[in-house]
Amino acid sequence: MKYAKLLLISLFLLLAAGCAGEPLSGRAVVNTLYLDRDESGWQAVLVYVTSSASADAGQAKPEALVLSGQGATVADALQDAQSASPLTAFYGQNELLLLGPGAQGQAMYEACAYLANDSAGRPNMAVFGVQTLAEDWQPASGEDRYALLRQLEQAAGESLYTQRLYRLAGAEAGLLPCLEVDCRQGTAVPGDTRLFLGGECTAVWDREATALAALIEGQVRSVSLEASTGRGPVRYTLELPLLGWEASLDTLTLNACLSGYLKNLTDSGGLIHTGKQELADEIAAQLEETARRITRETFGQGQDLLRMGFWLRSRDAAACAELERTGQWYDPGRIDWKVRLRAL
Amino acid sequence: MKPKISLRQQGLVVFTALLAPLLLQTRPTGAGAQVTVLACAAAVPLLWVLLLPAGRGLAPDGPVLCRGAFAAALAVSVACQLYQAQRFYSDTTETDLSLFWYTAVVVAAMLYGVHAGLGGITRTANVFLWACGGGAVLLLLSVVGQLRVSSLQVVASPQTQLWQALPARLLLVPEFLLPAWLAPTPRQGRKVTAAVLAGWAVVTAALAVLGEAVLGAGYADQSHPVYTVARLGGVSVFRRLDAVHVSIWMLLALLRLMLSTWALLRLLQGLLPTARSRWLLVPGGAALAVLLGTCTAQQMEWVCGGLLAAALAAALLPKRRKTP
Repeated sequence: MKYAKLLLISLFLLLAAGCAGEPLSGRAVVNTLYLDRDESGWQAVLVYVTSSASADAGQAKPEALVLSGQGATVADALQDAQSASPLTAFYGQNELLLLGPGAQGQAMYEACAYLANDSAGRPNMAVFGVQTLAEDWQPASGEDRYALLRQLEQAAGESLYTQRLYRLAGAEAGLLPCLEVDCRQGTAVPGDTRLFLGGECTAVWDREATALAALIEGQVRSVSLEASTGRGPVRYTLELPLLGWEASLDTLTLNACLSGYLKNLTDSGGLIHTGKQELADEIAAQLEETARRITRETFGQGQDLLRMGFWLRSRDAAACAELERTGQWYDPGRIDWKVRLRAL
Repeated sequence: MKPKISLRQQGLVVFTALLAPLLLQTRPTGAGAQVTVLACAAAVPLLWVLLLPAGRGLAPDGPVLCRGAFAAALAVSVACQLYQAQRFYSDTTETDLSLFWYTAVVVAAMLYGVHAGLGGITRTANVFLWACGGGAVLLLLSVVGQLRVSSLQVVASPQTQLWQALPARLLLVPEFLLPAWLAPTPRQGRKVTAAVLAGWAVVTAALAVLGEAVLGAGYADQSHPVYTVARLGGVSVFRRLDAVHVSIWMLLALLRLMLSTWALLRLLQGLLPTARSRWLLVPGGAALAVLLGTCTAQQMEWVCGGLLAAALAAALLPKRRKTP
């Protein structure tokens, strides 16, 4: 009986431990985080969703509100933004980080490192580059901003390549997919992808190069693209892509072979029914050239962002390490690309 | 008299307790998956050989010094465990819970576990192990979309890093000696020890491979490596599952505390049977307080490991002569 009372007391203590917690109504559940940087420091915009009563008693009208702040560091800017409201910012549901023009480049690694180490947030939140500025978030109404938020989420979902926070945290190079956002019109669509080596944007990849990067990383299983062919612009869907890596230990080279099926080949006249395999071969040649280009721009520049070298290192790590030591490893000719497509 | 718990249950409760420090890591591992796997594979036979004298030394007629050093190691380990669990909880939640209040809340449950005895702790361990297994499946499902074989780091010369990583894997923890102490005979104790070590090595290696396959080279630098992986995962509409994992892991930490405290009190009952001899606890407690006040958690872990090594060395001393 004595121990039963002790157990009851201990259970009460354990259960009472949550009484000091923050109620949900006292929290601002941050949906999207925007960061930018200029000479004065960092600007942070926290976008959170709340609901207000509408004239229709059966509905709550959602709206997106913003908290803005600035500071010398990311932490200061976030703290300044939060101090503008009695609500406590909650980052647990934050899955989108937007980097303004000033935050792209060298600054983004620092920002991502801070956010990745903060246990409040998600280290795998998607990171996108945008050209909007911090003040662009202000004029819109809560409802318009909410509509923009939904557009942003849709655009992020449609983006071929997703960059994760932890990949950029403390890195030296990285790919930054961009979104074309118009805060006034309330629109957001996927844009191009920027390659940053250090703090400098060294390449801008179009949809085809972005799709190849996503295929190499296994982020997508099918992709719809447009190619310029002898018959004019042709749209197609690449299905069941299969990427094989064959290492040649004699020459320490890697043969990368991308195969797949082309469906829904369409030009200005509609679905194409004749000469499909010739078109497929022409598209394959273009994809081969694009693959070689992205290899030159990443692996060839000493940054194996797509981790292609793993397939050779795993076969002969010592030889690859020796090549790296002598400065011969990052040779774009080390990876040979072949693309074989079959038209359906 | 040793409790009548089957060997399998003894092994399971010790293995479950060993999961807690693996999951509640509060320091970077500093070693990649490849080196971790090699270090674990090398550590298991070495540890098994090191632990061979434990069965002889921890027997009721074994050297008093051996059981005394083991008890001291358990006391230091309990303090380390409290600190580690409180720090992990404070780091991973927004609760600013002091060590004092964490201890106050946990001690009640710990003492009830001690009162329930090894049988109660073992039955509880079965439930916690199933919960942990379910959590592991959930963790794997939640991050399977982010697993990339190409994220694994290939090291050209793992030997150099292996020699640096091996000492951390050879650091003794009290749970390694518990099977030898609990088993009826030294031979059975060695079998259970081998099984526990193998299970511990497999889990350690699996966590390292999983973490590196998701996070890449950055895994080794994470302050809370397993928790970081748990934060990444989501299943269907559930985007934050780390609270589920933390809850289960804190239960494992509680189980480990219960088991260590029960073992410590049992040992002290045998070492200090009279009321007069229990006054020795005063200088012992003072020494522990000085240690807590002056050493970091990592230093205390090394003190604990050193005491266990001393216990194993003392196990080689001649046994106590039975009084006719």
